[in-house]
Amino acid sequence: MNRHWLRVTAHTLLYIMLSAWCQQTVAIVFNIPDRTVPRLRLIVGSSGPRIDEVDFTVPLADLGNGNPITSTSSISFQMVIRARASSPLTGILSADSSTPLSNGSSTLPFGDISWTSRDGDIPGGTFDGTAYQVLVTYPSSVRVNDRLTFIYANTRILEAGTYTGRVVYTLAFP
Amino acid sequence: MKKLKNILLISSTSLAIAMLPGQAASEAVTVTGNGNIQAGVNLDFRINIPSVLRFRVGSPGGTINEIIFDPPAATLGDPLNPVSATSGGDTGTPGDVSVQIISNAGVITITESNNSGGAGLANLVGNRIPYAEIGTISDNSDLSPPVLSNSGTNTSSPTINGSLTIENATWTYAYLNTAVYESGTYGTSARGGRVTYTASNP
Repeated sequence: MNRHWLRVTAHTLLYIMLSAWCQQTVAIVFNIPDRTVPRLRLIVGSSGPRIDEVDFTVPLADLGNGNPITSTSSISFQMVIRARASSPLTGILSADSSTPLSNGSSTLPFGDISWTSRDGDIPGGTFDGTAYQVLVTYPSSVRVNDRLTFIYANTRILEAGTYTGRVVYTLAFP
Repeated sequence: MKKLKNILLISSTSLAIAMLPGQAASEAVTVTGNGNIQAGVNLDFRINIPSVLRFRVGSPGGTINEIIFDPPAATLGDPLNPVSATSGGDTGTPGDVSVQIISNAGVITITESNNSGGAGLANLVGNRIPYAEIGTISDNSDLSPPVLSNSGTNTSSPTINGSLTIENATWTYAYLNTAVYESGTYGTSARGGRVTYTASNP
């Protein structure tokens, strides 16, 4: 028996089997396992252990004159919020900006820094200088990719120097 | 924003930490667990503030104000009758000059000097009136003027707050009229009548 006949025979047998099966009332159930463990994933800036930095340089002529200073590059925010379809959860993205920026002897409140959103998935806003500022909530399950551009208000005359500070973003299922 | 499909594959080449429940701190974090779980990620900020010293006496821009006194003959040389300016300044009140200083560079000193070569204001024939005849008062004790002098070395120091000096004031000039001098017009920029104030961060 050559290969052609083998193929014909196989098709015939399959047809017969399907015909016989279709003539019966059979329920077909696909078992797709519900994920058993909720999951959150948050990436801010570059992926990996490096902490990204938002830089502002205030031109001498503009110091404290209220002309806002926009950071040179935007920051990527990537989030995955996943929970069981049968038990949906709400993911909360919050920011802790309670420790002001400092140059070692003088401080600059995070309330002077705001942001705009490329896509609006994380709404634009201004840091409130508290330990828990809710930025946005998401129902599970969702994936978010957005970019934020930060802006320094530049409304103050501050002691000269380089001010550094850190904001902690937290994605949580409460 | 994309809805996840039932089966979700997450590429996790970056740092991934599983905690049940718990919290992780890195810049790319995955957490799994039941109940309260949270993923914490840092973002740093840096703002470079340059050193600045802005000092203005009188009109902004390149304008140099001129204060003019016309002592009346009846009280000439009577120190009980100092003479207010008849014109000059930038506030609308003759003899009043607005002053502003802004600095984030630490202690500031204002020094007065003049172009009289240490001799005071001269008239056309070379008579002199010393700068000590011109008094200056400020409406803001945190921004006092240096006392004018022929030698032009007196100083004043605006009040500093931390490293910041941010003050506004109005300085009012008066001719003290303590002596009688030869008649004539003294001063102007051509005959030693120009005062220069210099603010510096020693």
